[in-house]
Amino acid sequence: MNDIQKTKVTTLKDGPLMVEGNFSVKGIDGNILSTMNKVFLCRCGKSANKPFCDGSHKK
Amino acid sequence: MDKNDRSYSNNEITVHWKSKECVHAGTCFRELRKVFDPSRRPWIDLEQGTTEQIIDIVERCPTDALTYERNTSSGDTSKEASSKPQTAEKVTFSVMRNGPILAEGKFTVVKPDGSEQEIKSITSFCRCGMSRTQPFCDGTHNKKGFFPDNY
Repeated sequence: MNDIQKTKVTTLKDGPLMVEGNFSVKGIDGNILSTMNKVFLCRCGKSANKPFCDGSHKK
Repeated sequence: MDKNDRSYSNNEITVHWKSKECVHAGTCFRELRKVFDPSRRPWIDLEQGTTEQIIDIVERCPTDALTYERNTSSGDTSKEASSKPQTAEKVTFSVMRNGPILAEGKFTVVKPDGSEQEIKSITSFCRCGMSRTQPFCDGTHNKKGFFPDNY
C-alpha cells in the first residue's frame, strides 16, 4: 500500500470529520453508504444527511 | 491488568471485561440488554441470558473489551481468551445505531489541536458532539441520550 492510499481523518475546527483515502462507509445495517475517496462525516448530531455532514452545524 | 477489569462466570464460561479497550460500539447492550446493562451494577449479569447468546455477543464485540473462555471441568478456567478476527487492510467506517462511528483499520487521525495520532486497529468517533475526548467517542451519548431519527 502506498502513502497516497493511506486513510487520513482530519478533525475540522467547529466542523465535520474529513476522511480521505481508501476506505468505505457502512450504515447501521451494514450496507455500503460510500466508497468515495473523500467524505465529510457529521460530528455534531444535527445533520439531516447522517452520517454525512450537510452544514447544519453552522446554523 | 487494569484495576477496573472484571470477570463474570456462569457454569460454562467466564466473560472478561476490560473497560479501557471499549470503544462504545454498543453492540452488547443494544442486542442483549438483559445481560449487558450499563445502568446496572454490576453491569454484566450472565444469569440473564443463555451461554450461546452471551458468546454470540462477545464474539461480535469489535475490540478485546469483552472476551470469554470456557470453564474447564475442574472448575478452573483455561488461560486462553477468545481471539477476535484480524482487522482488514482497507479502512472501514461503520455507523452504530444511536452511537459512534466505529473505525477499523490502520489510519491517521488529525486531532483538533493539529497533532496526529496513528490508529493501529480500531477506534470510534463521536457523532453526537458531546464527547470530551474529541474527535473520539467517550460514551457520553449513553448518559445524555443520542437518538437520531435516521442514522
